[in-house]
Amino acid sequence: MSEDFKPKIIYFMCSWCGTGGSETASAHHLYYPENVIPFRVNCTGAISPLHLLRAFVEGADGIVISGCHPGDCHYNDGNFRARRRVASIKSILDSLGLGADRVWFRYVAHGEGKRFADTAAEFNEHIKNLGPNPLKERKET
Amino acid sequence: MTKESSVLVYGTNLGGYRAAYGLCKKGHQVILLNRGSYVDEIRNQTLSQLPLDFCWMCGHFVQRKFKALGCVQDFYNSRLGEVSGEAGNFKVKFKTKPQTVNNFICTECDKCVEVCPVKVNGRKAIYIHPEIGWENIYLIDRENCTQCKKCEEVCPTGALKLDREEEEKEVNVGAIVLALEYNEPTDEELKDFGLGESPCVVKNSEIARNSLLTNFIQDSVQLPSRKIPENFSIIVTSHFNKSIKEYENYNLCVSAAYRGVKLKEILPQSNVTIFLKDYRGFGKKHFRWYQKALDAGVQVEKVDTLQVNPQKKEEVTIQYTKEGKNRNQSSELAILINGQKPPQTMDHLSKVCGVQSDEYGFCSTKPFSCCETNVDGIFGVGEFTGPKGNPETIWEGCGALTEITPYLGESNFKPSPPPSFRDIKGEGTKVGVFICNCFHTFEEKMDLNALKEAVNELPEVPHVEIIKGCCTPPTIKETAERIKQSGVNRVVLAVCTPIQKLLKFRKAVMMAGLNPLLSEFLRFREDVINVHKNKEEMLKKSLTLIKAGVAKVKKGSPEPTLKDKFTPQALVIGSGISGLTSSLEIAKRGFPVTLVEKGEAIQTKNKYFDDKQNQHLQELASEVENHSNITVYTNTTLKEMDGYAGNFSGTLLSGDKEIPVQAGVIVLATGAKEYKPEGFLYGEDRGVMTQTELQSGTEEKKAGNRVAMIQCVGSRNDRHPYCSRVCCNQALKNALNLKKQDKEVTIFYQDMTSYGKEDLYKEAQDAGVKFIRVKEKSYPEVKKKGNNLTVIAPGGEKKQFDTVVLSTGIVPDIQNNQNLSRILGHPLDKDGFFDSDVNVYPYEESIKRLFKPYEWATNCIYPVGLAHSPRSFEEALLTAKDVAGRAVILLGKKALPAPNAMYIAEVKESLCMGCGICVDVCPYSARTIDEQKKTAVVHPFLCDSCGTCVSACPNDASYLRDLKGDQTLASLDRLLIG
Amino acid sequence: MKGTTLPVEKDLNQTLIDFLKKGLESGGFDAVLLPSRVPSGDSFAYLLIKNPSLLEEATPLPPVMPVQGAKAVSSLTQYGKTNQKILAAMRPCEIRAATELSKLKQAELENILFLSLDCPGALPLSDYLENPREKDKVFQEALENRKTESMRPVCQVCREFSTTTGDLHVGRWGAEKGRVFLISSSEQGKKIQETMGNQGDQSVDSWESKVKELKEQRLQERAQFHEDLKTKAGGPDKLLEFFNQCINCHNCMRACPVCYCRQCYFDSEAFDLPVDDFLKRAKKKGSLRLPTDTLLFQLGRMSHMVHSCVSCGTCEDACPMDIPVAQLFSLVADQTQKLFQYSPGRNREEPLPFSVYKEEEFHEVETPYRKTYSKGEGKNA
Repeated sequence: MSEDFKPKIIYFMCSWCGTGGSETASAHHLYYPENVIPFRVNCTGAISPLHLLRAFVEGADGIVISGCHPGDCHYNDGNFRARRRVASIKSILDSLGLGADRVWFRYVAHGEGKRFADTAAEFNEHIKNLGPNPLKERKET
Repeated sequence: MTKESSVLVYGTNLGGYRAAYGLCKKGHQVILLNRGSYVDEIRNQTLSQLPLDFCWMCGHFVQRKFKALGCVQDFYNSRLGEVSGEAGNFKVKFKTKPQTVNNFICTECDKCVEVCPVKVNGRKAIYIHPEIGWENIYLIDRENCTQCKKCEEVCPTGALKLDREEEEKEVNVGAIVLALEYNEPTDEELKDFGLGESPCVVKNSEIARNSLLTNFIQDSVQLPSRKIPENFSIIVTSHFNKSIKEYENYNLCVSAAYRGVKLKEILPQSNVTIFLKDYRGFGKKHFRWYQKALDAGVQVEKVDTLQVNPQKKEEVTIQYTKEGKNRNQSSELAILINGQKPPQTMDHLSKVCGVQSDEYGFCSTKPFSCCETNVDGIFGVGEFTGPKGNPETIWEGCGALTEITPYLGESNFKPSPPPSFRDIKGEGTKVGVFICNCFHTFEEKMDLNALKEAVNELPEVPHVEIIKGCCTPPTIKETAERIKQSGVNRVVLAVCTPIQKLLKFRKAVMMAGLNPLLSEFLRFREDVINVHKNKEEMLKKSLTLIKAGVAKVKKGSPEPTLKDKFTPQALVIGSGISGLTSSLEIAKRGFPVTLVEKGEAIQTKNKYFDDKQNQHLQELASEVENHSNITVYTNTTLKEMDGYAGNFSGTLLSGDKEIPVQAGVIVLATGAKEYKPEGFLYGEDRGVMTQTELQSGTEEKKAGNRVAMIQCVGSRNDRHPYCSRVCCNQALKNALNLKKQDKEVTIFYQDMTSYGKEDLYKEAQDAGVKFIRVKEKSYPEVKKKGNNLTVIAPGGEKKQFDTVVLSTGIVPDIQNNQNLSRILGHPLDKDGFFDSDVNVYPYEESIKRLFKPYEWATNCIYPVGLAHSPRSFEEALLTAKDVAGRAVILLGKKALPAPNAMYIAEVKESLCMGCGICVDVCPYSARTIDEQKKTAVVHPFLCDSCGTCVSACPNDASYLRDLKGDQTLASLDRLLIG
Repeated sequence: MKGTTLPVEKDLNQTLIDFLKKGLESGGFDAVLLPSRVPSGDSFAYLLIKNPSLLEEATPLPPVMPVQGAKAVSSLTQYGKTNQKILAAMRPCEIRAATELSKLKQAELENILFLSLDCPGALPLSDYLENPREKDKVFQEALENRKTESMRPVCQVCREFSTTTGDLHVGRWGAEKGRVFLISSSEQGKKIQETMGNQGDQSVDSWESKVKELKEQRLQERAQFHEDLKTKAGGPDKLLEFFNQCINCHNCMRACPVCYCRQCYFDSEAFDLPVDDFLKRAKKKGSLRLPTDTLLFQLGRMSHMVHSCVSCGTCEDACPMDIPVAQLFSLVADQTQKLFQYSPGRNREEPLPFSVYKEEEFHEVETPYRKTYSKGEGKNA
C-alpha cells in the first residue's frame, strides 16, 4: 500500500440525520480527511442502487451510506428500505468478487458529529488498507 | 369587548410546543416563555426520561419555522408575573432577559470563541454547549469571563451582547397555556440508590446525553478508572423509593428494557440485570420491547425492596428482597431510571393565576376535559398536570386547540405570500455561483479568491461572486439583490446550512424572483471550512462540490406549487365515547360531521364505565343528536370509499339504501372487544366470571367470601402479545370494593400494570389483598371440587375459593377492522388495531413520529380510542380530542398546498409501466395506480418528497422535482470525474 | 399431489397436443397459448389458438426458447385480465417469470391456466439456427434418453426443471414406459381433469421421489458450476474479461422476460452526456472504451431484476456475441435470492423483496460502531 494513496470516498447521506451528523461534526470542528466527498439525498431510502454502482465503476474507492437510526427515519421507514437495497448491492458485488467491503452502511444521528467524523476517518483508513478500487483504472466502464 | 387572538405558552414541555404549533397553523400568534436561557436548558419529560440516543431535532424544527415566519415570539430567562383580566382578555406581565448570544441571529461563525483570551478546563470562557447536538448554543462561563468584550466586538451580526438587561413586558392574550416542565428527584432523594455517593451509580438520562455525539457506545459507560464494566444493574427507582413518591409513566420500564438491549448490543458479553417490581409497559409495541430484552439475554429481577450499597473501589452491591428472601448482587455500574415529582412551579402559578393543584400536587384539570384548569381560559398540558408519556402529552397539546380556540378572537397571523417568480423561458441556462465568506470569517481559513478564480474558469458558469452572508435580514436582501443584478437564472449558493437556515437561503433565491427549484445550496462550511485543514485540498474539494452543484441546477426546471381542493367535512365511524367526542369537537368548530354507527343507536351507556363516565357519555350523546352540524346514521356501515386525504367520497349502506358521503378527514372510532375467556371453567361454573360481570352486581354474579382474581386472561400471551392496559386497575378497584365487604381477595398476576397519580396497588396491598405472582405467559388452573373452586398456581400451590374472577383484556374486532382496512386502504398493526403511522419502533413515542407528521401524513385517516390500541377511558378521550384538533386545523383550509410546496415527486407517464413498486414503498400513501392509464399517480399534498419512490423505480419514470434522475447522475459524475 | 397418466404413443408432443385438443373441445379451457414452429420451419413463436384443429401444428415442447413465454402472457394480459380461460403450455421457468410479471402488474393471471412439464432444457439458440433439422433430432434424442449434455449450460444445472407452480404438470420422471403423468397442481387443474373425464386422483409418488432425487443431484451440480464460474469470472479483472466482447447492444435486456420497462434506464437521456465528459473520463483513465458503461449496464440491470431472475437463459440466447450472461446472472441471482429468502415465481402472493422490509433483519450490513474514544475532542477541548 502506497502512503500517497488518497482514496476517493463518496459519502451518501440523508438530508436529516446523516447531514445533521456532518453539521454537528462541523460545529465541533472535528476534522476528517478531505477526500471524503458528501453526496446528499433526501432519505437513504432514495439512494438508487444505480448511484452506488455508478460511483463504484466510475472512480470511487469506497462508498459510505449514513441515515437515521432504525425507527428514527424522518420519513418513517426509508432507512429500512435502504438497508435492503444495500444488502442487495453488497450481495451482487460480493458474488462477482468486486469487493463488497468497499461499501459501508452506518447510522448516524443528527447529534452524532463525532460518530460522523469517526466514520469518515475510519472508512478512509479501511479503504487505504484495501488499496485503490481496480475498476477505476480500467478503460472499460 | 373583542377577544384577543394571541396565546401565551409558559414552559417548554412537548404539550406546549404542540399547542403552539397547532395555534400557529390556525393563524394565532403565540408568545412562548422559556424559563431557561436556551432552548432545552430546563428539561421536559422527554429529555429527562427518554434514552436520548436518537435525534429529536424535528421537535424544534416547527418552532424554528414558525419563528422564522413571524408567528412565534419566544422569550428566554422569563418568569410569569401578574395575570389579570379574564378569559379572552388576559393582561399578562412577565419578566425576561434576552439571551447573551441570540441563537436566532447567530451565524455560528465561532469568532467569539477564537478571540476569547480566557482558557479554563480546556475550553474558552465562551464555549459551545457540549450536549446540544442540533444547533450551536454559545454559553458563557460567567465565573471566569473577564468582561473584556472582545467577543462582542468581533460578532459580525450583533447577536452577542454580554450585558443584557432584564425587561418587564406586558402582553394581551386570549388564553394561557401552562406547559411547565418536569421535576426530577434530587440526588438526595435518590440516596438509597447510592447516587452521588459512588461513581458507579448514574442516571439513565445522563448516560444518554453524555453520548450524544457518538450514540451509545462502550465509552458511554466507562468508569472513572477508564474501565469498561461488565456487570450492569438497571434500576427503576420509582418502584423502590422510600424517601419520596416518584410518579411514574409507562416509559420508565420501557426505558429500562431499552437500555438493557442497548447494553447487550455494545457489550454482548456483559451481564445486565433489570430490577423492578413489575414490568409496566403497555401501548403499541411496549410489551414487545420487554420480550426483546429477554431475548437479548437481559435478566429481569422482579423484587420487593431494593437498596444500593456503594462498596469500595468501583463496585456497588444491590441488596434486595425477593419472595421474602434477602439477596445481594454486586455490580460495576448501576443505572437509575427515575420517575417524576409534582411540579415545583405549582405554588407560584397558583398565586399568579389562580390555578389549583390536585391532592398530589399536580395542576388539576376538569374531568373529561383535555387540559382545562379551574380558571377559564387557562390550560395545563403535559407533565404539569400529571405523570405522562410522550403520546399523552402530544395528544393534549393538539387537543388543547379545540378547548382554547373558543376563547380567542379572529386569527391574527397570515404568512406573507411568496414573491412571484420570473419567467425564464427562452433565456438559456445561466448559472451563477455565490460563495459566502460568512462575514469574512471564511477568508482566513481558505483562499476564497482562488476559488472564485477557479470557478470563473468553468465555461458553464457565467457569473461568480463572493457574498458576505445570506442568513440575516440585510444579507438575505443583499444577496437577493445581487442575484437579480447578475441576471443569472440558476443559482448555486456555497454557504453553511445548518438545517434551520435552509428556509433563509430559499428566501433569498425567491426574493430574486427565481423558483427555488433552480437553486442548490452547498454546505460549504460544514463540508469544507470547518472540518478540514489542508488548504490546497480544501480548495480542490470546494471546486468539486461547486461543479456538482452547477451540474445539478443546470438541469433544474421551475415548477409551481400545487394546490388541491379540500372538502371541509368529517366522517366519523363509530359512536362510542371517542367517536362522539371527536364528532362534537369538530362540529362545534363549525364543520359538518357525518357520524356512522352500525348499531341501532348511538351509545348512551357503556357497561365498562362507572356512573360518572356514563353520565358524561349520555350528555355527549344527546348533544351530538341535537347538534345541527352532525348527521347521524344508525344501522349503517361503510360500503366503499374512494379518493384520498381531503377528498374522500364513498357510499354508506343503511339497510338496502345507499347513501353517498363526502369527507375531508375520516375518524375511525370503531372500538374494540373484550376478550371472551376460554377455559378456567368459564361458562361451565357459575362461580367463574369476568371482572365486568362481577361489576354488574347482579345476584347471579355475586362474589362469594373467598375470591380469586386471575390477571392477563387473553393478554400477554402468544396470540395477544400486548398488555391490555385497563384490566389491572379494574381488578384492583374491584378487589378494594370486595375488601370493604370483608371478603378475602387473592390476585394471581404476572405484573401489576398500575401506576399514575393514585396508587391502587399499594392501597390494595395495605387493605390486605393477597398477591401471588405467577410465571410469565402461564396461568393458574381452575378446578371444581365439591362446592369449592380450586385454583392451582403454575408452581403447584393450591388454594380453595368460592369465586374466581377473570381479568380479561381488550382484543381488536379483527373482522371489522380488516374490512375497514381494506375499504380505506389503511394498515392494521401486528395485533390487528389500526396503525396511525407506519413506524412505531422502538418507541411509540418517537418524537419524530409524534411531532413531525403533518396533519395529513396518515392520509387524513385517524384511528382514535380503542380502534388505535388498548387505552383507558381518559386516554381514549385524549386521542379523540387530539384528532379533533388536527382535523380542525385542516378543515379550516380552503385549499391544501403540498407540504413541501414545489418539492414533490412526480411521474413521467411516457416511461411509467404501472408496476406499482413505488406505491408499495411510499410511506405516506401518496401514490396510487391510475388503472385507466396504467401509470402511477402522485397526490402532491400527501407527498413529503422523501424519494423512496425514486429509487424503487427502475427506469427513472419516478422522480423528485428537485432531484431528477439526470440531475443526480450529472452531479454524481462531477464528484467522480470532475 | 395427485394425477393421472397419459399414453405416449407417437411422441410427447403428440400426447400433449391430443390432451390440449380434448381440453379445448370439452370446454376445460377456451383457448390455448403455446409455441408453434414458424412456417419457415427454423424457429418457434407463441400462438394463441382458438380452433382445436390448428393445434396439430403446434409444438408444446420446442427444442429452443426464442421467445420467453412470460412475454407472450404479458403481451396478452398487460392491460387487463382475460374473461376466457386460456391454457398456456410452457416451461417452468416461463411460468415462474410470468408470476413475477404479475407481481409487477405486467400480466394479469386470472383465468390463465398453466400447463408445465418436466423440462429437459432447451438447446442453445445459435446452435439450433445453424442446422435446425439436425438439432431437432438431437433434442428428440436427448428427450428420449433423458440426457442434458447438448442443452444450454444454465439448463444443465437448472434446479427448477420440475417446479409445478401452474395448474397442470406433465411429469416424465418416474412414469411407466410409454406413459407420462398428468398432475393436477392446483384446484383449477383438478377441475380441468374432471371436466375432461380424467381420473385425476392417482398417486404420483414415483414421480415425486424421482424428482427429489434428481433435484438433489442438480443442486450439487449447480453449486459446483457456480463455484467454477466464480473462479473464472470473479474479481474485477476476470469480470471485465468476461464482458470483453460485449457490444452494449442491450439485447439481453430486451429478451429478458422480467425486464419490463418500456424504456430501459440505460437507454435514457440521463446517459446523453456531452463529449467533454468522455474526454475527462478518458483523461482520468488514460483511455476510455466506447461505447461506455457496459459493465455499469450489466451490474445495473442485475440490481434491477436479480430478485426476479428465473435463470431461464433467454439473455444468453439473445447475446449476439455469445457471452454466457445467463450463467453469471444465475450465480448472482442465486446468492441474492437466498439472502432475501426469495424464490421468484414460487408464489404469486409472495411480495417482491424491495416492496417490503422487516425491522429486524440484515444487521450484518450495518457497520458497527463500537469504538472507544476520548472525550472532549474538537474545538472546545
